Amino acid sequence: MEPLAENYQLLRWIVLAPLAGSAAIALFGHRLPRRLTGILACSAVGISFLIGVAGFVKLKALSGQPGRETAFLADTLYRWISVGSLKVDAAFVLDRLSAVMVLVVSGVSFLIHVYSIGYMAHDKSYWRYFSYLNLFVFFMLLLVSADNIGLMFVGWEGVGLCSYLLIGFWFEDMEKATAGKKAFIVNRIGDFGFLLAIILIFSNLGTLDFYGIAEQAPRVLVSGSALATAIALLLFLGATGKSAQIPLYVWLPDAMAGPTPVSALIHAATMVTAGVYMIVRLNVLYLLAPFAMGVVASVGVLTAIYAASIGLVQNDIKKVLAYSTISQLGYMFLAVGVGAFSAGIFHLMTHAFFKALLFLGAGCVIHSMSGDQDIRNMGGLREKLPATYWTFLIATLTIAGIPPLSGFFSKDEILWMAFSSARGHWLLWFVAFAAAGLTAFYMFRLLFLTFFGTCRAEQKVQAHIHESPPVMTVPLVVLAVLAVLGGFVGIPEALGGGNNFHHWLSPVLAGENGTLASEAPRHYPHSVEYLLIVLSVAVALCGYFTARWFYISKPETARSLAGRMPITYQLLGNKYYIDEIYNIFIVQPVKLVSTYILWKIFDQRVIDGLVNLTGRSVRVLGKLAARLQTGYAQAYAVTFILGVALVLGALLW
Amino acid sequence: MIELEQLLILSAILFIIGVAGFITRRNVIIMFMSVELMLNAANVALVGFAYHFARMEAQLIALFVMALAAAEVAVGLAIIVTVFRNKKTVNVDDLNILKW
Amino acid sequence: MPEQFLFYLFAAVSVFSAFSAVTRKNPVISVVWLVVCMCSLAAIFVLLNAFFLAAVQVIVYAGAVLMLFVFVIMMLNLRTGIIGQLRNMGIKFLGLIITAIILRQIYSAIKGAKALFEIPGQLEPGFGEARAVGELLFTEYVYPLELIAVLLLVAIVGALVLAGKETS
Repeated sequence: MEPLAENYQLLRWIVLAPLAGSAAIALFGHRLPRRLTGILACSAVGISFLIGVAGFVKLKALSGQPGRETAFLADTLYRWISVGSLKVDAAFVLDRLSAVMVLVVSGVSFLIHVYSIGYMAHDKSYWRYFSYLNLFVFFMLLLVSADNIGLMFVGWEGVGLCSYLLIGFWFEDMEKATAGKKAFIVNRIGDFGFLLAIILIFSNLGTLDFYGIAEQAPRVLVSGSALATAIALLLFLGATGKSAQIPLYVWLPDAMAGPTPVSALIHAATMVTAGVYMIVRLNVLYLLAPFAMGVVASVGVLTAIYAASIGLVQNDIKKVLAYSTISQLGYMFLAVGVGAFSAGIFHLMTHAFFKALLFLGAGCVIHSMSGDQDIRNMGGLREKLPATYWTFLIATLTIAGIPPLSGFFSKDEILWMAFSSARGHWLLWFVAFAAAGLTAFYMFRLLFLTFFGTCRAEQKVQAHIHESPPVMTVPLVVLAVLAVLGGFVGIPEALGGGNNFHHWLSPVLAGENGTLASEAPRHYPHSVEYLLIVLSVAVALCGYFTARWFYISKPETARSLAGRMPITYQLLGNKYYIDEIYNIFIVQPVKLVSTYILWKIFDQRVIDGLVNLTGRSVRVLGKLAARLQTGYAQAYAVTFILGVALVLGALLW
Repeated sequence: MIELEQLLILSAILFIIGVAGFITRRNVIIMFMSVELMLNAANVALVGFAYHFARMEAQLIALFVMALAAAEVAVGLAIIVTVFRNKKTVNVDDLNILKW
Repeated sequence: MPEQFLFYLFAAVSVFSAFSAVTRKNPVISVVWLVVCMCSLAAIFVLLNAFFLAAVQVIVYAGAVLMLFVFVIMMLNLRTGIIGQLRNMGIKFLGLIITAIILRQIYSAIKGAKALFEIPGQLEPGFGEARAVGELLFTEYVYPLELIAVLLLVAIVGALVLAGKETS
């Protein structure tokens, strides 16, 4: 089926509205009253969301007609690069996949902007915050609605930049500024892989726009070839950087130094999902590289359980959520790694809802605790922060995978595909299953320690505990509603649903479309699926009961267990010493090489030496040449006749 | 009929003597005379060509050369006189302040 | 043929006198030898049918230019051998070698261009006489003539300015 493009001029405003907002706030924000700045920022994102909805409706109507399922909306601004055969447009596309992403990004961003009005109300750099936040939304929307890799890469880099700016927002604190740097630098390592992949794609396929790639790739690349695998793996390297997978996830826990709404937006709902989106967008390339897909799935599931294990013993509320994010992203990569692209996007969507909700709720908690983030000092907040508690509870149930909340449907889809897909394997399922149990455990642990029991905070902190204003709690409620209802678009067939989400996305994804010769999923009877569903719910309940026992019924259990397994506890608590390991094996060697070889030898001796040499040789030659000027007329005459002799010689030959 | 070749060789010899004199002598006046000799050598060649190819133009050019040489001598000697008044020497080795 | 004999005679005289002019220590003697050279060159001009030019050569060169040289030598009161010791011999020696090379090159150029000399012209009567010179000079070459006149004027003024009496 030929994809059919239809022009839709409003598309550009989805991306440009937040840019305009950011620019306006940057230029005038310090003079405007705070309220106006906040409203301006929220409106910019709101405009994007509304246009996104309009586009979605139009797209649904357009592609709903049979035979036109792959239709999409397009809008071209101008030709950005035209060098030789490289032609990159600044152009946007709203097809079924981008529509989902645009709605999720702009919708959740809007709620978080509203929340930020309350959260950052007392901050002295209010307008700078909103300017950066709008700028981030601009780049993110650019990323998801670009119609070619080049423009997408601009968005990719841009969100990395904004992440740096926002993590290090309170840059006067050296630690926070360093966290920002760490995020950006680690990202760059991944971006290097991404860039190499872009070069390979262009030099082999001759085009950078997505529909062109989808067309050319099956013709040019041989399935399973080294080239296809290299491209896929390099792209995945970029994804591990941006989406915090092993080995480039180390920046995400440190990124919690930024304001909590930033953590919610960037490091839960949107930026970190860019890697998943990228792989789904380029699914054709991955389907041609089965080995790479295996790598993606394995790394994903490994990251999932690895991060979950660390989250078990963290005491900072945001760090628990950070590791939880890394773990859930692992699930998404597992999904795309086994070819279940729509399941990955489905989980991306539900995760955006509940993780943003969790972070915003944590923000309310921190706000009320006067800035304290240590859950060992919390407790009993259930009565004092009712709205926060109830929404947090809903989010916890969702992430644990309790039906019929959205998390259950999306996580289960992934587990099922890990088991049953043509590229799936029961071992992948098993590790993911174990990680799900851990997830339930640490999330309920978080819930109990924060909201249940007696408050362990100091008196003066306790006196200050209050529920947040409506501008902060209303977004929580909206997200909670989404978390509850969001799953119903993707009810699997085994449970009687139509799996609408999957069918909505499948025309855009090559594998399920039949244009690529991919293996058909193995067919299991529905009974196997039911069994797996029951097992995952069971493991979630296990997690709940275990956490309840540890932290409600018998609180000493946790401490005594930690006492009996001190090594494990240390290892987990210190995140497997990964930062220290990286420091010894990577950071210090790089610094040593940079200082002693690159700087002292190469820069000082070679480059400076060359430059000095040039200067010195000019001086020497000059002195030498000056000797010709003897002031002595007959010497000059000799020079003349020497010239005459040479010319005569030349002429005579 | 005098051959052109002979005339050109004569011209060459005179020219070479002029050049050698110019670069060898230290007395500025003698150097200047060597220049005159060189000019004359050129004149000989010109007249030779005029004779051989029966073109009057070459003689005219030789005439112009003579006029030019006269003008040049006038100015050049004036310069030498001025220099001598200032530096009290006509040894070209001593006139070397036009340098680095 | 008398022509050839006369030519060789005057050629020899001019070379010898040129050489002597350049190598004498006494500047006045040098000038005298140069006068001899000029006159022999004038004789050669006569042999080459350049009568007007020969006359001008004697009048201007031998009669004016070289006299000017003598006057200046007298005025500066140069004596023989007041020049000091020898310096910069190296450069001069190198220069002489290059001079010899140039001579050799010119010689081979002349020999090599023999083919171009094959077409001699026919000498018309009145070739080289004052009338012929005047005809060309005042018709085709009137511009160069005027320019040369201006040049001479400039030279006179220049010489006056440079070497005129100092007004203290």
